[in-house]
Amino acid sequence: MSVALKFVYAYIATIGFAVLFQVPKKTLLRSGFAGAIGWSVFNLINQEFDSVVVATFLAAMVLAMIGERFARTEKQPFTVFIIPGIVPLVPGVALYNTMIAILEENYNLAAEVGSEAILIALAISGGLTIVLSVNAYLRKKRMALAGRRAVKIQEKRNKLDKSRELDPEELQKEIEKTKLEEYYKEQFFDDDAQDSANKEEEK
Amino acid sequence: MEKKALEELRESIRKEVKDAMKSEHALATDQKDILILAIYAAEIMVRNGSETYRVEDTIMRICKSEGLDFVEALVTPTGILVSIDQSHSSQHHMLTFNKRIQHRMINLEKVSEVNDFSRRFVVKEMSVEEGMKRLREIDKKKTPYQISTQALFAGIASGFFILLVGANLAEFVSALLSTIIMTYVLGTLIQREFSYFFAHLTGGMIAASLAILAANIHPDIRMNVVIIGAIMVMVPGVAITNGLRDTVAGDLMSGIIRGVEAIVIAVSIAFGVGFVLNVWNMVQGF
Repeated sequence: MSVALKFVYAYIATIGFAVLFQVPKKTLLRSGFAGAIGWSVFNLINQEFDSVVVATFLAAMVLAMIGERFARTEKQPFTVFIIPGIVPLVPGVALYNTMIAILEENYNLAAEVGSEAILIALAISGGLTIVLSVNAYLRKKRMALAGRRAVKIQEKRNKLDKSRELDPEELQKEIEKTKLEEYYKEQFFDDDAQDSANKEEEK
Repeated sequence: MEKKALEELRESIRKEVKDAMKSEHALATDQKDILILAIYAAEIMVRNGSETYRVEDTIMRICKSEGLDFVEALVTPTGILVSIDQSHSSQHHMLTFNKRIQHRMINLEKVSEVNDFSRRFVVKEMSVEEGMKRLREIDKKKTPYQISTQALFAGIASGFFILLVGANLAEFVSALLSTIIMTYVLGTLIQREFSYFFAHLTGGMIAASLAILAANIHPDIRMNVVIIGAIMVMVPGVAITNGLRDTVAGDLMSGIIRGVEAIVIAVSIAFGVGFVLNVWNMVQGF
């Protein structure tokens, strides 16, 4: 089966999982894209190096990066993009094989396949965790930067208008405000979309 | 020059009036109302599958925006505990409220909406009363996808997933149909607030039974592949991801709770599928 065809199948499958987890309608296509890329990375690396665990690990990392990117551009919680995308990577096949092995009382095989299932789960969580931790650090840094930016703007204003004295309370408020703006940047709907949604509801 | 001075005077008066209104507002709104609002927002988020740190953050922001400078929130997937107090006020007592949460599902749209609500509330776009009204609206809002739509898409997802792992067309069709039936039953059971164990046990049994049926109808259909397609829809991927994220963020208790939830779901699926397969093997043995 060609890579392109697999990409399309993964795209459709991820959209299906996204509907199951009730992601907002307008992000469905992007969720599907993230999932399809994740699966393609998994597929290519698995074919090349024949290691499911390593392939899953790298696919989870790529998926998390794409999810973060979309979360920032779309102003949505990034769970919306990551959760549907990881489902095709989840060790469903390995879990099933473990269960069958236990049913057949073949405990050696069960231990073998079961530990593979656990390793795959760890690979997913490891890949996601690394990217998410780095991103959390960067976000903190961005918030601090935003605060410093607010201070600079305030200082500039004071220079222009010398009659005004530096009001520490006002400055603090300004810092909080810019930090808040930065904080909410990647988590929420943008206003226009929300307003149009409200209008539709009213109709 | 005069114009500028006048403008400045106006500005200062405006500011004074605003401040006066603000302090009056702070006195007029009861601490208790704010606490109830924050708890309600948190409850909706937890019930719809939000991560713990996001919920705690929302509680803090809502309370602090109303001038409560002491806020402590402890959020787990099974309950919320919040204490609030004001440091410069002798007329208010410290308040603590505890909210138990029994049932959780996944509705990422509602999480997004409460997030949006909290942003609007924090910048004082609405009063506490209006906020309560808005939260009730969000809480009562129907899901964007009905159970039948969800079942249809779950079928599509499962069918295309097994195509990815190398299934043929007959297997695609049978996985599609069996997953639609299974997800419909599973969704209905969860909506009627049956326990996770029972719902997923039933789901696993239905998946295995339909796969056995399909394998006996057409010789091309491999039973294993159809079952794998169906259980991919139930596998607790969300519980695992959220659990790990909570653990990494330092919310160890939430992480453990979600991890146990994932194990319970996985075991109940295996139990359901395994039971039916075992019975089928015994029947064939006779």
